[in-house]
Amino acid sequence: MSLSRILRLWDEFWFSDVSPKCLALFRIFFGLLLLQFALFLLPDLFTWYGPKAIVSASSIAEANPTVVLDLLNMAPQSNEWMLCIYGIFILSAICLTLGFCSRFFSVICFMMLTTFYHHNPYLLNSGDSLMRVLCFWLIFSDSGAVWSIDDRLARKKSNYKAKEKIAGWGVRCLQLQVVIVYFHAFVTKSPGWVWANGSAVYFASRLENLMRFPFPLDPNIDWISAMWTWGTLFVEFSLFTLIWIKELRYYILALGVCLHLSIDWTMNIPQFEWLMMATLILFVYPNDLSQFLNWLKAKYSVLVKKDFAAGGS
Amino acid sequence: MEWSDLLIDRELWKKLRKIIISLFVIFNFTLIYLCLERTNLLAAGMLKPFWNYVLFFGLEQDFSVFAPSPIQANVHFVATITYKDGVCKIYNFQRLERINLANKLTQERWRKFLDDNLGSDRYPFLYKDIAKYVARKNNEMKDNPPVVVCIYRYIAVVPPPEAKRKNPSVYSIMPLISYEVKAEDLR
Repeated sequence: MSLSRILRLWDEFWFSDVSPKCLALFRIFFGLLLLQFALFLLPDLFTWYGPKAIVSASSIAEANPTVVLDLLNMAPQSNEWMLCIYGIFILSAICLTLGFCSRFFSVICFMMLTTFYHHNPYLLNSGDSLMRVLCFWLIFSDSGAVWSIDDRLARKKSNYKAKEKIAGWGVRCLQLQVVIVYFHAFVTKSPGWVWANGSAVYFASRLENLMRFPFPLDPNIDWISAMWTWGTLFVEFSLFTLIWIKELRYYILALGVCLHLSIDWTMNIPQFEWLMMATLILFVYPNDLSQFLNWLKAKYSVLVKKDFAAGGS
Repeated sequence: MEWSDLLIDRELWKKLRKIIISLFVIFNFTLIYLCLERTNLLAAGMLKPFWNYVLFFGLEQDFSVFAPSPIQANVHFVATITYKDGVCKIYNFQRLERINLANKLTQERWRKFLDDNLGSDRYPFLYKDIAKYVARKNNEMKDNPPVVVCIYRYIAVVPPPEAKRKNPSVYSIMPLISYEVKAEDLR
């Protein structure tokens, strides 16, 4: 392969324009998940982040003396300041969901998520890390180009031109971040003997404080545990490799959704699975999404007509 | 007006756009990759000069969920509080297996916080903070403040699959800290 061909492929991958629809749909789901994040924090907000939090500011400063982005430390610690930051976070998440000043509010949401992370780094899980990093990449993408207040406001201008395409590199960064998750999840599992012998899901299913609903197939039976275990590895592997093959993409996405739904059913890991499923939207081909939405619209209008006819008769 | 107009002349941006974006993407994803590989000495060394940047923006990440293997024990935590008059009280930390589904959603952070920090020996400096929290939370009686807080870890190892047994109901107990509460801890 020649250098010029590599450069051409690079250019094509990163700098081709893309339809903004999948990104906009992702923005809406992501914004809703941010609101859910805020809601789940609420009952113990003061315990985790208040001036008398369970982990003291001095312990955190001692463990990590580096300067970090933590807005809660920018004013003297008080409940009022903490509530102010929390309120701004909720407001920003609402604006991002609705697509109002999308880029600006994605910056604010990112700053807030980073603040929550740095203010108590012993609390958040991988899903929270992913949310923060996705928000970072969302800053660089034109997520408010369609299905947003930004777009509605732009339509009112006389020289309005609908955005059929947006710069693709922001979407590519988000996609790359998602495949990194699966890549890392897969490679870190590979040295584990329980993943090799097929008993990993058996052990995970025995963790009492993670249990939600019973497994549809009992992982206490060896071959079922092995099937779940190796199936998980296969799907994770596919989601950073085979997903790039056009003909296989939807099969892999369907497997990914099944994997996340089954984990969400059996284990109490709120948000992470839903966040992962939301990120899979970024891999849907925009034309297919448009066709699907048109099909939904047609179905809806048929239903409305039927209702209207029934009401009229 | 585009946001990039604030930083750079539009014509110059058009010329340099692809180079700047490419460098930005390569730089950040290389750092993210090095972060994921930071147990590797070479990766850690390469990451070192940029660590403050990564940390400042919270770009470090780790997705080794259930890796290299899921934890093979059920753990929970209990604290005992001794008051000034000698009375002793038991304080149970949140146990998700004993609460309903709706509460599980909001209380999941307790599982994460306790299992990661009290369940492992990685952050022993947090034990003191958690003991102080327990003392503050249980300082309910006038002129009878908590004087000592002890925290215990209860562990029950999951039987291997070939044993075909239920999870054991007997836990082994490990004391984590015995903390003498000071007056300022209760403020």
